[in-house]
Amino acid sequence: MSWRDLGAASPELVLTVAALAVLLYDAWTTGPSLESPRGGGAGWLALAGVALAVLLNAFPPAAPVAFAGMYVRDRLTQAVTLAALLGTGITVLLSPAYLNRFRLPAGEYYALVLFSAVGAILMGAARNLAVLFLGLEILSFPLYTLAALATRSRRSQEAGLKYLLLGAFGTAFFVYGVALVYGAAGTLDLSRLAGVPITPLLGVGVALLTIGLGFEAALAPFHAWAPDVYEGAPLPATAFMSVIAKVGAFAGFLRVFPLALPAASAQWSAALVAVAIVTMIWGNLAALFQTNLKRLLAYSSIAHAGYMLIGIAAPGPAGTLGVLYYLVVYAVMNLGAFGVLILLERRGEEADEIADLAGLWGRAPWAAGVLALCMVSLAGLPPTGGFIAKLYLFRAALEARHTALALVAVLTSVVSVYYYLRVAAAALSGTAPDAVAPRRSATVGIALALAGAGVLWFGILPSTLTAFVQQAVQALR
Amino acid sequence: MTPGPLTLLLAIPLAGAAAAAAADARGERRLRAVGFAAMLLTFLVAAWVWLRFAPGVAGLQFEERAAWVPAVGMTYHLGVDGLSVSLIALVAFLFPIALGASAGQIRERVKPFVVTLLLLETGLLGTFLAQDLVLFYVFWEAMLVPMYFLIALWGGPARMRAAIKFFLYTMAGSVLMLLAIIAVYLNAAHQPGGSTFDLPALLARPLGVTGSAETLLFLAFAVAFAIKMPVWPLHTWLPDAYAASPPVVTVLLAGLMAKAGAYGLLRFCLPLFPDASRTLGPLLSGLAVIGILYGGAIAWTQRDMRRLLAYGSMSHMGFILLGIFALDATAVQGSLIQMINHGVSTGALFVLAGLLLDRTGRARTDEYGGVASLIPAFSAVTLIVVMSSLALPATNGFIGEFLILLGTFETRPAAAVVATVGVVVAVAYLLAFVGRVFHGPVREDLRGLADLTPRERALVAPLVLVIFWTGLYPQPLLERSAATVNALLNRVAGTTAVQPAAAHGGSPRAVTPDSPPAGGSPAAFAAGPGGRTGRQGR
Repeated sequence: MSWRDLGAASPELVLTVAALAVLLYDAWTTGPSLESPRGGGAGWLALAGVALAVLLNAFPPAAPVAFAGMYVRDRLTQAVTLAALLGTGITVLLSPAYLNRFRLPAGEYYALVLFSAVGAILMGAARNLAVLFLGLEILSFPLYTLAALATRSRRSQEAGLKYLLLGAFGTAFFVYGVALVYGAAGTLDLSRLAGVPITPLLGVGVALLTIGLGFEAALAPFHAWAPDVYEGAPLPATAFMSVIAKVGAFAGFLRVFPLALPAASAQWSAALVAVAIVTMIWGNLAALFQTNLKRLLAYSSIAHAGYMLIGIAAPGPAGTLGVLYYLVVYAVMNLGAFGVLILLERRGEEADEIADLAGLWGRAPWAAGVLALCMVSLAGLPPTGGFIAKLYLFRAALEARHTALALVAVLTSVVSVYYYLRVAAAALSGTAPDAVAPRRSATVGIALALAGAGVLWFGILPSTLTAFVQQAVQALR
Repeated sequence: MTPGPLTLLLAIPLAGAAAAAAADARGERRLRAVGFAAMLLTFLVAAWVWLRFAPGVAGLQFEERAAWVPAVGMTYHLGVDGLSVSLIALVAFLFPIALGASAGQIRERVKPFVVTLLLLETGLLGTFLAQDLVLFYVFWEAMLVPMYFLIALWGGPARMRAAIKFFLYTMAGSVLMLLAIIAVYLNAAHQPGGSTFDLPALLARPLGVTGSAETLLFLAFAVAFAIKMPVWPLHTWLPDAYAASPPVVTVLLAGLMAKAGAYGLLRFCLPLFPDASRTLGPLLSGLAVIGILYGGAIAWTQRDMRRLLAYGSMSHMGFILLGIFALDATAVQGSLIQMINHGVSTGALFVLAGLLLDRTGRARTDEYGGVASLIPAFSAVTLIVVMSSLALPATNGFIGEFLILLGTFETRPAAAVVATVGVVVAVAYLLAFVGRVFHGPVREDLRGLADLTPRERALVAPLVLVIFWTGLYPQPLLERSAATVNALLNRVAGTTAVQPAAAHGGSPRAVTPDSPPAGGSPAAFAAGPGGRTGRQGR
């Protein structure tokens, strides 16, 4: 290990240091009372860490490949890092009001969020299956804890336990897959995997590995944990995990499939197409019948995992471009939607039913507007980022001659409009229930403004982000 | 690139929406004034473009082109030609009237209403201006979203169901078009010149789609447009949406959105897929005839005023479709002028129906009677509009339907003959409507009905003016579209070989059997020198 290696990994290092600083600051200010003080010191520290990481991420390192070839910080890593940091930054802005209101331990919360982000970034930087596994673990362990963070809530405890058990199961598949790949190929180095002859053992290994990543991304049929965990976890934690887990998992998919195994694409492509089709249909149909917003967004996030898988299943530069663009847009629009929910409160609890949104327009017009905008974007309608992102993925599907995949994707998009617009219309009409009150919070306001602006920016002027991810794709060829 | 008048057309309503969004929600009058000012300004720019438009040029004018997403071949490309220039003016003309007519109907949430209306105007104008496939799709879908909210938030009792039905129907059609757009783009990648979504650039080279692939792509586009028009049998969203919307929104749905469908057929289906247009033309003509008769017959049986007008509107849209797929210069000219007429006349009918509904709250025609003697001015205006709608000579409707039937008779005589029956059916249901509402014994409970106020007179006066102006002097409309229509039909008639010059229209190629020589056709006669100078296009 040299200074150069550390320089390549500087965003991860900054986030880790920031997480440790948050923990120390929390211990310092909490003292013996064991109750986190009100006030956002920890949040500002975390935000400063994210901002510094964003800055460092903008500069490509002198030597992209580091740590004896196990780690790489190329354009792809940069794009994944951008998505992860965007998600983390908005989450940090969304959280303080909620943490104060429900008296959750701020220090632990922010530290866990930052650690989890490090894991997702590391998955994007993996050049070796061991590092990929390391990233997966660093990503998911903080998420298990975050889901269970509301120690007084039984729902939250149940969510944490469920996530831990099923997540451990998924990770076990992943490790077993890694072991089999090593047995077949004699190496864990992703850059050398391409030259390895395809054997049944390698195939089984890759399949098991896919199951592990599929758990993390909530792809059908490995999605069963998502609705329960999303519903039980505290809202900001739900919002964060819905984004960061996808970023990590799809970074892993990109590193393994199109990049490491291009020669065998005929074999895995068909399987991934099937998984994508099932996921899109299942997620969208199940979301139709939800009345709880957290569950609805859980199924929606499953459906979006299906869309993103299109970019993996249709190998080639167009697919990779689509996935990266989608990750960034998804982070922004999904957090925007969750952010509005964080503002609402029903008698000291989360207000997470669709009916709770009624009349929001009259009380908080801008929040209702951002919610409607994010719903339009999640539905993939122009002029929002969600449309451009889907356009890129559809293009990838057709380019790879997966017509059926593209057809299922567009038709399920039509289905999704039904439930997304139902939410938007609920927020823009009706009279507000007495029990529900929208809270005011400056940081949430900033986060919502950022999300709304981002959704429009990526939809109306997509060229900047497109050019950025395009570079990531070209660098790989 | 410096922003030209077309960008201005998009920017003004958008800026108006932003200004209205930032304004105080309680100052209703001010909000309406802001909206009205923005729409009026938009109309002035559109009128300027219309007046400065050079007739006889087949290609695009006022073109603006800038890089949008160069990495993917998407361009910000705007332009008007003979197909769109009058439609732009129509959009800009109807919006201020709709906003003015909304005063009695929309009393709650005025601010979001004005904002949504302005966003819808941006979307509609963009749809007619865009010359890039993705840009077009963006506007095409983006106008759905404000329309959904206009129905869902301000509509009648069945609004939620009607709004989502409308949205799902139209979107189901358009997502297939999106796939077709991508397919056209990917096909172009194998052709010299590489991949692009830019329509004129695509038309300037062989697309590389033939046979069944072309038919499929044609259908994917055509279904999206047919749903929007709507064409029988894809019309089932229409009665619910038209009846559940607030009347002013119906004005926009029937008067403008339906035109976007017809325009799409002319702008994309015909030039991109000429072979398929010719093979499937008879089929679409058949559907058009069915739609004319079916819509007319159902309208005849309706007792709900707005459902009657909705089916009537559908029947009239059938004529437009018939004219387009007659693939004859006269008929297409007729269709284009009929789009304007239909926008004005049907728009006016729904405006008047809305004013009547505001006053009485009665939707059924048999709850009225003898209204003519109670509110004479209102009734006179209605009668004029009805006359124009059933194509009485000297009104705008006559010119359009006459040219359509004349042109269709040349190429598809059987369809023309049957469609003529539709004209009679229109007389039947419209006069039945007039008879039930305006004549007969006066209903006692309607006494005290107020006639048109000065403000309302100011709203309907421009509509009546346009009805007679177009009816008596259609020349300016016809000469603006003649050259583009001739170039378009030359392209459709020609085989797959494409000359680069044809992309911007103005192809000097000889006319083929499918479209009779321009000089001999009545459209060219009506168009005057326009039809001939078209050959000087770039």
